[in-house]
Amino acid sequence: MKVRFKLNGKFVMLDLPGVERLIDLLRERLDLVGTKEGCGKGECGACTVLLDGKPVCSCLMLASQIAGHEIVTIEGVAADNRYAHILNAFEETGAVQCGYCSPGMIVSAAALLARNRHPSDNEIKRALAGNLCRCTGYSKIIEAVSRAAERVAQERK
Amino acid sequence: MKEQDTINPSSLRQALAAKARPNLVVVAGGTDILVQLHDRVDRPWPKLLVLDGIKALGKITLHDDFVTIGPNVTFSEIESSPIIGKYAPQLAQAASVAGSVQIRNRATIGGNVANASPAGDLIPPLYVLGATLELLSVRTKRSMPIEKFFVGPGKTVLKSNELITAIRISKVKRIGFFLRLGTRQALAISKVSVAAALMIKSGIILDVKIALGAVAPTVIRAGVAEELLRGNRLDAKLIDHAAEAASKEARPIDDIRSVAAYRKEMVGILLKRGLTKILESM
Amino acid sequence: MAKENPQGNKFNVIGKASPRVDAIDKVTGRARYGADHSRTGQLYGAVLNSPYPHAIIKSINTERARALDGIRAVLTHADIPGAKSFGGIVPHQMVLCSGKVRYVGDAVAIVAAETPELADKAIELIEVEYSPCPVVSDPEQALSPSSPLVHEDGNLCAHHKVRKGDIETGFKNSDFVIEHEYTTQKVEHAYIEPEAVLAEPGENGGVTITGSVQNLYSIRRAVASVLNLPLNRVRVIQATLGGSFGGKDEAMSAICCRAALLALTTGRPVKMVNTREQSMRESYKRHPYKMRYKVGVSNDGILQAMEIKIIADAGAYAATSQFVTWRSVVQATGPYVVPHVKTDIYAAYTNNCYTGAMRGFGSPQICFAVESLMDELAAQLGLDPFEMRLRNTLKDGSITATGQKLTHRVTLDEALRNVTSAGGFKAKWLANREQDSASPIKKGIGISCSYRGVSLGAEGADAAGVGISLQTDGSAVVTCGLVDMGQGAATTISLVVAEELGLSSDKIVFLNADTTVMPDSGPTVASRTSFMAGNAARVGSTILKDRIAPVAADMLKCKASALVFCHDFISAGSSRITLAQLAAECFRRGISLSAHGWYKSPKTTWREEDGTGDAYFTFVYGANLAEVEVDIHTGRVIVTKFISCHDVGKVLNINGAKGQVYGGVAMGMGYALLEAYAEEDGQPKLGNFDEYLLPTICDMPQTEVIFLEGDDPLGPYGAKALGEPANEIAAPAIANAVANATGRRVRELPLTLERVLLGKNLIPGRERGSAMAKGAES
Ligand SMILES: Cc1cc2nc3c(=O)[nH]c(=O)nc-3n(C[C@H](O)[C@H](O)[C@H](O)COP(=O)(O)OP(=O)(O)OC[C@H]3O[C@@H](n4cnc5c(N)ncnc54)[C@H](O)[C@@H]3O)c2cc1C
Ligand code: FES
Ligand code: FES
Repeated sequence: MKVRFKLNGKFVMLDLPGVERLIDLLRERLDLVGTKEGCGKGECGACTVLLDGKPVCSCLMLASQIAGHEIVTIEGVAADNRYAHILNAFEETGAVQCGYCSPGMIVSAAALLARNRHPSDNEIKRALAGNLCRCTGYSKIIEAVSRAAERVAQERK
Repeated sequence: MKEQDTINPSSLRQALAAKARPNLVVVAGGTDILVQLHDRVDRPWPKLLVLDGIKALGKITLHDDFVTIGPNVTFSEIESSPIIGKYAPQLAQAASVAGSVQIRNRATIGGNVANASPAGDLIPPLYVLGATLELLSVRTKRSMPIEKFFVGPGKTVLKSNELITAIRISKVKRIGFFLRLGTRQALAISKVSVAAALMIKSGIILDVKIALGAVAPTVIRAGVAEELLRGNRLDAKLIDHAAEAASKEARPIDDIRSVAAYRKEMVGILLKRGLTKILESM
Repeated sequence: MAKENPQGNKFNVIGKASPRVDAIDKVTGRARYGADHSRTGQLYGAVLNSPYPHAIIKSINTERARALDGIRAVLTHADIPGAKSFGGIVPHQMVLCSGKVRYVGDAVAIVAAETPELADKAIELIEVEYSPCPVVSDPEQALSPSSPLVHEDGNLCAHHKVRKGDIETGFKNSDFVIEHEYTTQKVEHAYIEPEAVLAEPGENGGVTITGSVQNLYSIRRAVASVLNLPLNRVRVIQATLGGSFGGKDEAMSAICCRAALLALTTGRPVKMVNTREQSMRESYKRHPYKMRYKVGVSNDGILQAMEIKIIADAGAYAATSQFVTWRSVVQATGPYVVPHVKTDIYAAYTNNCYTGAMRGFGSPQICFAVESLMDELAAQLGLDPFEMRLRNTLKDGSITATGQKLTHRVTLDEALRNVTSAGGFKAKWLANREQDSASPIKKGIGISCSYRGVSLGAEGADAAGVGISLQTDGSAVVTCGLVDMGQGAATTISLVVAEELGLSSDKIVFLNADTTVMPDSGPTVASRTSFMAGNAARVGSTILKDRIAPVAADMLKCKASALVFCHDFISAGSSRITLAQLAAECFRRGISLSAHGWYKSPKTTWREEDGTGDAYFTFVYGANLAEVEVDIHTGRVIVTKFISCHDVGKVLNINGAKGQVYGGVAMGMGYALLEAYAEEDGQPKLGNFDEYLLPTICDMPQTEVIFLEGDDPLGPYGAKALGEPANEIAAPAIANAVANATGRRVRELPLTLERVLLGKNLIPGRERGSAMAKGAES
């Protein structure tokens, strides 16, 4: 079947071969390998992408389910200046170790900051509870998201 | 799985027509189905009928006496809906503690009900809210109280040509709660859950419903505990009796998420905590 | 004491909060991990694992699989050209099993196909006839003479001992003797990136492997011997590694051998990516230990004797069991002076998933036992846990259990003082023992401490190399034989080079390790990277600097000793040149701009007969403090606060160092409260992160980090080790806090809700999926 959707800001028309997971479409056919697979069961969040601005697990979606919707992957987030503060904050604070969880974390953080400009630590935790990280112990990740929020707030002043 | 195709109807009519064919698996948010797909070793996977595109099934509507929740309404939508917050706070509470943001953005109420897991978090609240399900096929339409819907873990009375098309709850105001225990602080399936709805007037419990999750093959009502409470004044002693009774009504098993003895005890603890909070707020 | 930001910093980049050199690639999604590498025309590999934990293979029939369209190879043990097995210590781990399977992660056949789906389909068509054997699942029973054998030469995988003084005299000198058994569970590394590899037939008849590999050289050795190739025809390149924690060694050797075999057979690139389930099933774990401690102490709280017997489950293969248990035996008494010691540790082969290196490497287990025990002794004597420890801790010049005299500064007491005063330990500990009985929420506070030998010690050859190549524009390429597995080695090594050559760190590109570029640097284990590679980077930088300095002196017309290398400039008094100018001039003059630094660790000694010797050339010290709230009605433990103090010698990169601690605490918390890899008769009872639960962001306490800088003369700028110490004592601090809260001691990990409440743990699910329904019928 043919599907049309928006991917990282551009409209895309694709022929789907059958039952295909969104993550496989992104990684295998569109070479958007920034999206990672850690479990394939919705547990780790490494595969998080934005569906109409909301974080979802791309391992738990069928490619056909995105017809008519907008998908933004880490590549899209990284190319979008509005999110530069988040990337910088992750880089500077040491919120990245092995980095395998980072694309998913950053996508989740981007969704959070888009709707909540001054998240409390608890709100950050709630927003990132679906993203597992084995390396950082999360402290620096919370710090990075708060710092990004502060920077955005400062800029708006 | 790649050889298989999916059917993506955009109207309920098309969906019901498609569902008349045998061997078709419905996908709403896909958070249960894609997990099963991932786990599944045997092949071939049957054709998938994807309900996402049917806008009409994704609404929460207010009627005179009841609220209709479309099966495609997600946990996130339930969590943030003022209507649900007002008429079904237990349901909003359950939706807000389940899974993670990513899961709640996709997981639907229809999927939660149809998946028929005894640990499905929206089911105990729906029990105590007296929800009815609307089941439609191309030719038939029936309604039933949610408690009649489940037969066992993953087993329901839904016919192969039917879909859940609406979930109704009454607008009668009750107070209540949903409490659960999971292994960790977030993203954990319930080991035990308890929901309750009560009507209390001048300290007397006029009506009460209590439902227990993850302690039997299906979600169950704690009838004996309800009986103890009904018509009586809520106080600490009564709460203890009810908690003890509910604990006895639980018929849990040992599995990967907990052990039976623990689950049984926790039913009482959670019920006691919920009721005590109500007592304290009176 | 240096808290947060070390003061009096005389360095340009060392000790500062430097961003990781690889962070930008990682935050943009550009970094390429194992599974992100693809080649046109690649095939997909798949593995047939054994359904039985222990069975004789009677026959393998691959005909139906071969007949399938799109299948390019179906291979069994008979198709292996070289050695059929591999292993660093005991080369008995099967690439593809022949006579017998020993655990359910063993492979019997492999397939290469045009698509992953076809590969899976072919796997299902392979027919294997097994004759099941009795399963050896309990390591203690495995060692009894009547046990069935996992390996022909017996089930004893390792036995190490330590003898000091005379144990009987020790108990005679004691006023109290207590005896307890502690058990720790099997846990999974749970790196978020499952194993992935791409093997390509090379132009020279060899093979190139790119993947999520931790120890390039051991993998290269394995692949070369299995494929019968000389080492120089096997090239192993490390892709960006999505976590390892010690886990991507033997598990990766197996996968690499299989992928390489398929690639050479088919003449095409072959990609193999594990699902999480395969990873859990096949990859080795941390050893579960059963530890019996009998301890004598005199009335004044001084330890007199420790008799320790430990049984470790090695699982089906040796992997690094001999070394892991050796570290345990050296450190088993904890960081205390004990005059009379008798320690025996045994590792037994079973048909469980094999066990090997994991962050801590034999220490988290014994730390849990000793540190629980110290609290239990304190309770017996009516002392508080801090005082009890202080009376017995290792001090400057103390003699360890193996008879080693500590000649460096011993900072253990300082670490303990730091955490206890920062956490207000004593007052809280006393107050927690008399809490309001009305509330089910009880507060608890606990401490723990440890000493840890740095690097490999007497385990094996210990040397590492770093390559530095200065470019004519003043930038540099740095590479190392030890890998960055997420712990920040690339950053640390780059910082050392930057510091030495006066480069700004953004001028450095760190290349992932590649066996054709760097000499064998041994394994990236034992928290040795900062120490070993840091020193090697220093050596290499010095060689290079000595070579280019005379040219600079010539250009600036001064003495070489007057030069200052800083911020990409070389200056002498008021005149200066850029590093780029200098590099370009050196190039013109034909002076080599590349250097290799090689560092070999100082000497260690060991006598296996009685377990004595200078086991490690130096040690690090640390102390942890945990505060918890325990809901005594549900058994729920919430860690509310954590303080971690470590003597790291010298903080090289404050961000990286703190990150290691936070991550170590998180992993230790999972060990304490959540994680357990359950098996029953050799069959795994769980397969993915829905059942193997890791701490989420919501589970983490607020954590305070305190660094001690002891300035060890041996380390680069005094730096020692941190990655593992940060992990090993978190669990006992939490367990001690729980005991303080509840008044009840749990001697088994993890402290799940069920165990805290009922004293018993989950029974691994027989009726799996009964709570969450399987396959809804439609
Ligand atoms: C990581 C993770 C965490 C989770 N945590 C929780 C949790 O905390 N609590 C909880 O309760 N659940 C949890 N779940 C389970 C799951 O998210 C829920 O059960 C969810 O409600 C399923 O909805 P869905 O739309 O995604 O279902 P789908 O997977 O689309 O469908 C589920 C089932 O319902 C059927 N179905 C769907 N819609 C209809 C319909 N209209 N008519 C008839 N049949 C229908 C499908 O055929 C299928 O059998 C979790 C799942 C994951 C992956
Ligand atoms: S891969 Fe999708 S959540 Fe783990
Ligand atoms: S940085 Fe490694 S998993 Fe998060």
